[in-house]
Amino acid sequence: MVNITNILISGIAISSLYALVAIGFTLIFGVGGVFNLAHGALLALGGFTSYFISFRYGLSPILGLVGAVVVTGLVGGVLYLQVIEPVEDNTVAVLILTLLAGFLIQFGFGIFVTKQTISIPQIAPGSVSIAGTSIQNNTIFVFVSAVVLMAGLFVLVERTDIGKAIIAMSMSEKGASLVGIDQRRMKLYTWVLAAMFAGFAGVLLTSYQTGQWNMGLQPLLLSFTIVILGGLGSIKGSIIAAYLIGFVETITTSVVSSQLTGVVPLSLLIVILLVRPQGLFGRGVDTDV
Amino acid sequence: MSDSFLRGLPRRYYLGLVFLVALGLSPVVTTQTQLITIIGILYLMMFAMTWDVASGYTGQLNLGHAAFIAVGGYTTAILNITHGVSPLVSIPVAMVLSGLAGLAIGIPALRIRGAYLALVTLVIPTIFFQIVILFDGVFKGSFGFKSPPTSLAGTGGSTGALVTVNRSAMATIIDFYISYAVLLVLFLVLFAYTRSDSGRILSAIREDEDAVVAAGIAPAKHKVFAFVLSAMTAGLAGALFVHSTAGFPHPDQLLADTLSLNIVIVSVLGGLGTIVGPMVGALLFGGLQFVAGEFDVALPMLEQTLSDVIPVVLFVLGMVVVYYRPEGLVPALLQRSEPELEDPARRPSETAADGGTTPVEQVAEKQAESLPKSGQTQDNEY
Repeated sequence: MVNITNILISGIAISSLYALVAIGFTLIFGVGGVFNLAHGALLALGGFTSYFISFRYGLSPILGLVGAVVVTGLVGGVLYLQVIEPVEDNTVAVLILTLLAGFLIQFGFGIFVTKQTISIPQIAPGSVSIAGTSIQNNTIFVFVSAVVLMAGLFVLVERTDIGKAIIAMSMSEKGASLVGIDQRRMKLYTWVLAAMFAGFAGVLLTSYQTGQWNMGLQPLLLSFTIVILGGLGSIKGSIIAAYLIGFVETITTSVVSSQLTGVVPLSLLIVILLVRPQGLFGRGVDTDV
Repeated sequence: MSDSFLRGLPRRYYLGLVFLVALGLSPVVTTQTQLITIIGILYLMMFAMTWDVASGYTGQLNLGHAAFIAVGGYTTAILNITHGVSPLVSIPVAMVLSGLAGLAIGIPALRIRGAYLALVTLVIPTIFFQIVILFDGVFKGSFGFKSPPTSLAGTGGSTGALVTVNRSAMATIIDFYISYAVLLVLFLVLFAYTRSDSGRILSAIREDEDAVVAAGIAPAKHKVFAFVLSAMTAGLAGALFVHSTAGFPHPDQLLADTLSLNIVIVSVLGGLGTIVGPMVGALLFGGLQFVAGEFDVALPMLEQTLSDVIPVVLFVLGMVVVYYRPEGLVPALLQRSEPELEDPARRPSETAADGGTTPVEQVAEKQAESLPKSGQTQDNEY
């Protein structure tokens, strides 16, 4: 017996989470034209930071969330300045370096912290009953915070100079330079912002499911799928793609078989790449080097 | 081999020869347990070499080489364990199937390039693993097969190994030499291929595909062949691996995320696009693990032993190499660099005399071209 309401609720929650997971990846790709293979590791970093703050030191989970966002933002900035920027023009080097940096972070947690699964106290404990269906407050928090953050991001890119500069860079680096945008600074901002999103998503993921030292790979592949489906560097496309994939996955796992978790997005990815490599909302990427 | 012939070889060939002979003599000085570890290192060397022939030479990063290894390993395991086929038949079949898998990756790789291909290939072992879980009747799920396949060498009994001897230590030594012989054959094949005209075309594709087309050579054919060769040889290594004492048909051994990753790291360490480099890199990595395992000391301040921390050391080492010696350790030591990962900022500008662009810019342009543009499907020039 399939419960439509449950599918709807968990579909919305998991899709919102997926959108948050993918936004950082989209931002970095849109602006720098590089795939950040350490993206998944930044999620793990967020999860582990909040685990330290709210579980090991027993402080408030809200503080853990804030701390995680700050720490991942800082690490994202350092990663860009110290690792990526010197070899930015070299795709192969960036791929290898981000891959290694990501695994370095994750193995660091696995070796020096714990190889066990980690869990953190719920940010919003308890549950409410809406129309006869009981919903975890945590699920509501995931959805609401995701919507707020996405709205905030849209305000940023539509209304502020920094946001506009970031979008301008993703449209054309040459054009952005011509109108006086400081590329290096904008890329740094983008990395920090993307890392913050990743950190936030990592905390939510850890609290919604559980976390593990190697929790980064699945979200990375998922982000890639979402970015490809949504179209390159398109924030709107990524969000729509996240909801599509989240719902397709929720429906298949609850209707067909729960063993299919993870297979659906990956199989979709292969099909999309072969059939429509520019995605749904591909705005195209300027090819000036 | 006459004296004059030997004198004509560059010194590095001597070094390599001494190295290989020394590796071949390792059973003389090791215990049986140590030798099993060394057999594992031999397979890592094979995996890295076979990865390099496609990825190192064409510059198309394959981050899921484990998929090819797993096709080989699972094919021979299913045929041998479930259907009782002799390894002498099941290993060649595994090779053919892996070659087909290479074709299945190689053809899309003509359309999907650069960073996309890297991420797509990263996905493939994950999908393979899901298939193993879904069809656990055939692939035995996440626990792997219950009994090992026919071993290459054993002490008679019920297992019916290919080579039967009296003592198990002797069996391990024979196991080592079978693996070693295959390593040498693979090395010779890949070395000869990459030093041939075809290998030169692959390097040229990496540097400037348009120039290759302009010279009247179809790059597609060569790229696909490189992938098929890479997959076939990896499948052979993977198939042998599960029959040896070092390997077992288990997803943790054939499809671990870290396997593909280690292959990439050791190749980067040694030097992409050299065949010799990845071998040396794998040997270094294996040697490091081996030594750490032998002298396993608990580290002060941490609740860890030395061998636990090895992966971290390796990642840092890999990053340092990409940063300071992007051509890899082997070419760096030989003082001849391959313009694969060079950083334009760190070298004198070298523009071609006709006002052309440097190889680095050409690669960058190629990457830019590989991005699909909106509103138009990617032109598929094949």
